[in-house]
Amino acid sequence: MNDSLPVFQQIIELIENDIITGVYQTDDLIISTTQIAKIYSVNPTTAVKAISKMADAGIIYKKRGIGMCVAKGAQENIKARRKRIFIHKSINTLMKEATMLGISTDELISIIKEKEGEMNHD
Amino acid sequence: MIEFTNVTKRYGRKSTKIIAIDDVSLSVSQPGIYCLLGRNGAGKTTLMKLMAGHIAATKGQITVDNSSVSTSRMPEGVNYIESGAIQFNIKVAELIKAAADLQDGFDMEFAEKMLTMFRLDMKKNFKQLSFGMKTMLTTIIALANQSKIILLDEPTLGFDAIMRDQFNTLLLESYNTHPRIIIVSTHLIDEIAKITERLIIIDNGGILLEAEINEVDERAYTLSGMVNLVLPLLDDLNCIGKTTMGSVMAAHIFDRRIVPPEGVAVNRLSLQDFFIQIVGGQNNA
Repeated sequence: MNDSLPVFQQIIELIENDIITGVYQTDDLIISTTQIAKIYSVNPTTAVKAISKMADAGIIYKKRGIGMCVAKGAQENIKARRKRIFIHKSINTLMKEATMLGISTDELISIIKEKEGEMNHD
Repeated sequence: MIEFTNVTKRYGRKSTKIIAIDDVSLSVSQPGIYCLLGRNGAGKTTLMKLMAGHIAATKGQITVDNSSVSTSRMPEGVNYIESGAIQFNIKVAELIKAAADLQDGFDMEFAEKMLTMFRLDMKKNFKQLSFGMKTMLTTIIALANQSKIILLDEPTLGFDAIMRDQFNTLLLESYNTHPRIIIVSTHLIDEIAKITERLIIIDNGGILLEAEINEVDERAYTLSGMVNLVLPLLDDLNCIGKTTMGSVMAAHIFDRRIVPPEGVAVNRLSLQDFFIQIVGGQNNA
């Protein structure tokens, strides 16, 4: 667990990551609150809060007698929201830091492309 | 359901009187694991003993399930367990049997499962057990019966780290099989945070805070950065404590979350640190 977000939000993020990366597909059963509490060693009520927030947001839905499942379109919705945050936060921080270090935008782009090449090699 | 209305408890004669509980009103109605936090001498034990009818209130009204509680009318469904207070000179097996015989609906299956889990030797005499094991045994007996309200006064005193962890599992398991009101007092705050639902913080005989554990998780955090960046943020936030070192400041907040300006970091405040801030802050004020 990292230290800046409330625990329930961190749990939401972890589950969302699994939805984005396709670990959970649409209609797949996700981890139960009891399992969350055990694995991440968090309070069961915190796990319940995370799950109910996700249900409220329409990312997951309840299958009676079975558990919580990934809703249709959840992956796209999470991606769209995360993308907005990424542009807003991460890119801003990156560009500010670059300006501070005297790296021009063109230079930054070429650094990113170079990195991409390296990553594809691995 | 436990209800306190303007309850005061004083000890001693007029000249030397100590006010242990000072005009407390409190209502615990929902089943759940409640955590009672407070410094030594804050009034935790007095509060629990009042609930169980072990001592009488000086003023005010205490009811459990709508019938009034006093030393002459101890509530039936309430079980108060103090650590290390009981002495027996019989074998563990006999003690368990006696408890089962005395109480209707004693959950023998649960008791046996827990005795195995904590490696309590049934053949041993109670007085040969270590301090921690004695507490563990009395707590298991308390949890195995069907009391609607269980009060555990510092149950993990004298437990090693592994026992404490197992104990929390035991509490949670017991709660899941028999949901009811379980109130636990402890000083090991971050450990109980994993299982408790609601916090009751008492200080100087009064209730300082009653909150859901999730509320604390969400609303308690630290803002740190340069003083000139942090200080203006505190104007419309409930700041429960702050430390300044040179030009850097760490402010502890119990309020809504904010998106901090650049240069200000947000960190979660552990329950223990939250407790220190909120109780320490009061005392220093």
